[in-house]
Amino acid sequence: MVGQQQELSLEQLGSWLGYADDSIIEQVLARFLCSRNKEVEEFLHSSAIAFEKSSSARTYLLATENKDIAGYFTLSIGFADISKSVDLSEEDKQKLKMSKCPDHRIPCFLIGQLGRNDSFSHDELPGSQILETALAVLVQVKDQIGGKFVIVECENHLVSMYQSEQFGFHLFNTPSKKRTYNQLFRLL
Amino acid sequence: MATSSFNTVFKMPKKALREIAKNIDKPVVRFKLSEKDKESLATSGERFQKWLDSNKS
Repeated sequence: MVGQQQELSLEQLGSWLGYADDSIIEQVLARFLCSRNKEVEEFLHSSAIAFEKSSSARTYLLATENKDIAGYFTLSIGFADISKSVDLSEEDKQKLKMSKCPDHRIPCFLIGQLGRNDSFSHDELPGSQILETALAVLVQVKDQIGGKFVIVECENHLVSMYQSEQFGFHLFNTPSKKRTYNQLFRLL
Repeated sequence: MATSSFNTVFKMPKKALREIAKNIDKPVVRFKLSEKDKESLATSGERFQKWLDSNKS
């Protein structure tokens, strides 16, 4: 597939589920390989359908006409602990309208997975294109129901893409003994 | 990317919350789905079925 520019279309995994048995869809998903991040590969192979069926997340696929999945992303609702907001100025608290949450947790959007198939090159599908599409889906959701920001976790080598002028994510936590990945947020 | 992200409560430091407060009412770069993508999402299931049918024959 590398070297052949193929038109990709945006597909919803959930909309496939009504048209075929899980086993057939699993065969299609199994063709997605991601040696750079095995968790990204494993999620699509083993968890994406279950997450879809339980409405825990929604998975979007960028696929060729032949249903080769060039890339995908999974979106969900996340939770942010904002207990530190008690230390903010009254003006900032007013702007956030968060301080009255009794358990200091507020919902946010979460990009839970995002990756490209090993069989496709950066030129065929840049990571930035997958991220742009994910953010475009989230903007649609935000326009309909509100929401303040999106969170993503990523490895060190991807931080620069998220923080670039194009995307403007802010790094708020870095890896530690308890945390494997960087954590970034972006207003929507 | 970790599957555990789905079960994480993300601890937001004061600095991040202040940043959100400072910029919450400011315009941000908005990404928009193309008409092609919208159409593609709307017909995703039907196209998958057609593809399945064409592979059976």
